[in-house]
Amino acid sequence: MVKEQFKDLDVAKKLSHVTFGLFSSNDVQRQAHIRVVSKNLYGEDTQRSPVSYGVLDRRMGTSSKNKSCETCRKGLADCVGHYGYLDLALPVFHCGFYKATITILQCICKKCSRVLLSPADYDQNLQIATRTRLGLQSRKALQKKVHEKCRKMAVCPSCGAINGIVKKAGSFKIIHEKHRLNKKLSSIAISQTQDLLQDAVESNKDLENFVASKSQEILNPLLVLKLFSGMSDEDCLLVGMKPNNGRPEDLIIERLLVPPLCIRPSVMTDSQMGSNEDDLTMKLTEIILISDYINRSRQNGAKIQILMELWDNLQIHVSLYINSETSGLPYGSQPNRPIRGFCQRLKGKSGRFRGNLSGKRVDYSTRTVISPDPNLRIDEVAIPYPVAMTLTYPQKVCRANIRFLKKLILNGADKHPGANFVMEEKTKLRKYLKYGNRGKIAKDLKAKIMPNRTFRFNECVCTPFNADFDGDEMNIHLPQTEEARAEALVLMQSKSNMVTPRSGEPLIAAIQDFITGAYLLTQKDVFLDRAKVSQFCSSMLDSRTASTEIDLPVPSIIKPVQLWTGKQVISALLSPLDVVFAFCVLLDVVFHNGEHICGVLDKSTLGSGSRSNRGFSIGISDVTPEINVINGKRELVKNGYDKCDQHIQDFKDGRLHNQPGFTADETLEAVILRELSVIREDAGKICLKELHPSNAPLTMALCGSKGSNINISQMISCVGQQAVSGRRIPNGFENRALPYFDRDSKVPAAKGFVENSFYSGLEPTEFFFHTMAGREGLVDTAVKTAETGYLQRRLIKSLEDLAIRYDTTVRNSVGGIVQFKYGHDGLDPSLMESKDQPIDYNHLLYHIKAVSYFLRNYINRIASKQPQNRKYGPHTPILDHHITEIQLKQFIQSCGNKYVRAKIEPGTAVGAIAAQSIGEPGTQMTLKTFHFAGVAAMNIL
Amino acid sequence: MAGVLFEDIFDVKDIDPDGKKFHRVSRLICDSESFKMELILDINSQLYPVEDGDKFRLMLASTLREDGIADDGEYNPLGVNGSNKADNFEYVMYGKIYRLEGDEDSAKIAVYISYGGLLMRLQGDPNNLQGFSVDNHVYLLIKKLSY
Repeated sequence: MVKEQFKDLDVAKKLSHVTFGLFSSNDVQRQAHIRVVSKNLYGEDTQRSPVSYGVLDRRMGTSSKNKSCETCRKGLADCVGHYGYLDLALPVFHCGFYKATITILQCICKKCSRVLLSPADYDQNLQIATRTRLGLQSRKALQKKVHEKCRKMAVCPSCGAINGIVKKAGSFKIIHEKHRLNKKLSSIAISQTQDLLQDAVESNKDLENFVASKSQEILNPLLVLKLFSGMSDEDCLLVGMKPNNGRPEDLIIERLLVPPLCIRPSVMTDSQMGSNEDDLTMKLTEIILISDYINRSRQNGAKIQILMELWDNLQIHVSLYINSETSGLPYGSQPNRPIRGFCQRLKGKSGRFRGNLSGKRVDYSTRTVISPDPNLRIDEVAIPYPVAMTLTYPQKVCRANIRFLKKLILNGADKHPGANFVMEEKTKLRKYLKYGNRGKIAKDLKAKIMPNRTFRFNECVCTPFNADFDGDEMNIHLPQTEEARAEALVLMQSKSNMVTPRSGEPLIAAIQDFITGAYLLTQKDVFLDRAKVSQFCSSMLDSRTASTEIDLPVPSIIKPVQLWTGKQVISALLSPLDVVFAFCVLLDVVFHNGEHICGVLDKSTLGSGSRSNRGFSIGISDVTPEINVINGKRELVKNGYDKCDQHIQDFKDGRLHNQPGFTADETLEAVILRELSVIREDAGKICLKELHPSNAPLTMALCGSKGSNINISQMISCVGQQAVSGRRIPNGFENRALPYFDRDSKVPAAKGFVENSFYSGLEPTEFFFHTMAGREGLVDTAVKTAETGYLQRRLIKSLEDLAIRYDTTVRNSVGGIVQFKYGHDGLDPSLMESKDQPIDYNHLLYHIKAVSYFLRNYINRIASKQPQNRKYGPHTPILDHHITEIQLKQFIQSCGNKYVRAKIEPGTAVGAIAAQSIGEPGTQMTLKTFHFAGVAAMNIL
Repeated sequence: MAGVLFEDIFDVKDIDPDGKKFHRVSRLICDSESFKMELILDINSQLYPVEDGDKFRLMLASTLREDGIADDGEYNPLGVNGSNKADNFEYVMYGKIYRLEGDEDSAKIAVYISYGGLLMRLQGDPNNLQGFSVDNHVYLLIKKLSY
């Protein structure tokens, strides 16, 4: 049976506020059900029943299916768990509050525990501190001010005791250097103490050193606890604590809360008498053990050193229990196996917050490999039958759908549109599927059920999903209510996310094959006969538009044979569909620019059709240089090398003029580098010039679908200078990059210039240099992806609460205004038509004219048949600008509509959008650098 | 004849002045004999090879019908009924005027026509280029003259 949908019934309660505070020992006891005392987990009996008052006592809940909780008598699924507590033999510091503890100690007198402020300061600051509406920032500032003042006080204003510097010494050891602040006062005090200890020193010579030198006081937790307990409520306020929510003594742990069993389940192993206990359970038993030991040592009157050692040990274990990555632990006490303390359970990507609360495993979802399908629309995803028949959607029965649902029930669970369940209360579950999404990024596609076992979608939507088909997997989520469906449909449609708000550029556009296909099709010398054209036109249609009739255009060449050009196919593609009216304008574009990139065109099916009939492959002949290229390159390299030699000679003779701000060495480097990059560029130009237009890599580079000129010239003529961290290959051996070269050689080849191409093959030294640069790229990518990911997370965390309100301001979560108007114009950047303008007036005017031109022609045609209807008033031009009244009205109206539409919607999460827009290019930068395998010019970072 | 927009005899001056860029398409640079018009025209050289120095008769018409009645701009796979201007020509193209350059009072205006991407520019005295307006469809008819 499927899980019942969670329904809020009668729970209309409003939370006024949430308070965070400290958990005092009393609170701990109140929350707990039992006191835990036993260090043993299980009894001696064969059933392995837990020891009562042990860490696994069943009164704290249950962690096994067949045993029920002894407090509430419920089973594993229903019992929420109950707490226990355990008393520590001696108090210890809380590792999370360690800093706060020290700060407060620095603020108070180490004798009378009053805040170290002069009466005037005290009153003034207390007045500020008691203000009820004190913001977070000002409260922090106050705290800082008080802290600064108190640290400098050497004498307590209320009791006159001498106070010194409080600082931490080693792990969890706080010392108070009493006589460091005021030497004059201290010297008297010191001599007094020395006098006092005269007798003792005389009887024990070892003490002499300790008395004479600086006297230190160790503030152990017990002492600190006593000091903190003595603080008044006003003093608490001054050190930044609200006594109602937590007093300073709560910063010291005396009593530990033992969490319920269900969050630290014990796993019974098959072999008898064995169980795997959770880290927390283990740590708790250790703590009890040490605590017991301390108690016993105190009763037996053990040596003080032993007791102190045990106390330190207790401190360490309690700290590890809370945070197993506590730093500054003494060597040897670090756990050899990292355990999962509380901090580790909460922290990080798979911690409680990010892994279980913000994002969690869900029902009604599925996951499989993705693959491309150019025949799908860009807002579609193909769902395999097995998936479609397993995922369900609860469909309520009403009069309108009862017949359909009856049919589904008859179809049953084994036929595609069918029903898997029939639920009571006349609610039926129907197999049907609608929405898609990848991993973390929620995006929406409409479902189309298809055979086979992969999710498929149009390649054009790869960019927004950041997906490729090298084995990527995606998740599908099926929203379970009508509300969720509607929300997903409107907000996550890939159609409504076609333009990136970062730059206003299209995100979903034709890629790779489509561009190449469109490019090749729109070449000037592409002529198609009627059969081919018809085939192209029919491949434009998908299942939804299959019945559309397309009028073939009049062929461009009528005689001697009827032939259509590739461009006409594109025109035909544009004309019959929803873009009828834009046709006249677009046509112009198509015809003006011989090549035409489909851009945001909804129907990108064209690519598949053209490419499936035409092979496009790359072979060795595509990268074989002609004799001209070889000779030209040889010439170039020779000249370049000669120039470099000349520079080197100049350098040796001291004739090289230093560039401003450079040493002679640096100048030489810069000059040579410039010379070498010229070689590579020119070599690239030569081979590009000599290549035949039908050359496959050249075609791809020209139409921009894949690769660039650098890639071509690297393959054919010259790989170029290899760079490591932005400079020529450094010396890895004694004064040279490789032992093959002369020492201190500066010639291009010795510092990583590769004059060969990938076709001609690299020399061993060249190959080595190339690997160095390539390795650097790989390392860079690995390191930077992690770094940029974190960078982006931080950006988002800082901006995530900014949103547009209904008064068009940008505000944060507490209502603080960040911008009065979003971007100072309140416009959505993704809806801009021309540069920074919501409306492209010229284009719109052109469009309006074209549309009504179309209408006028239509009217003309009718009018010509009925001569008496010749007068078509509103369409007669009214001005010299050839614009009619209707056109003008339409123009103004659509300008208005467009402006209103371009205004940003209230509720838009502009903060998150801004953070993404800044963070996203960062991730891109790392990915793109390594494609160029260390070409010096490409290292922009 | 009705529906004829322009007619003249042209001499081919040059072929592919910037080098041959496409396999099957050549660009002709021509001058007219009677009206002193300059013409640049892309033609399918595979179907209709033209050589330097050739002479041809060129006609631009708004319709192929002899009676001059405008056609409906739709493709008719059966061809035009009845007698047809194209019968007297060897090479016929169909395209669209996409730009007019120069004012009517200037000495020279240019008509730009695209035949499905094969471009044409006809430049000369405005008096010879009347009846051309942007977005109108035209037929281009060519016949080589033999000596």
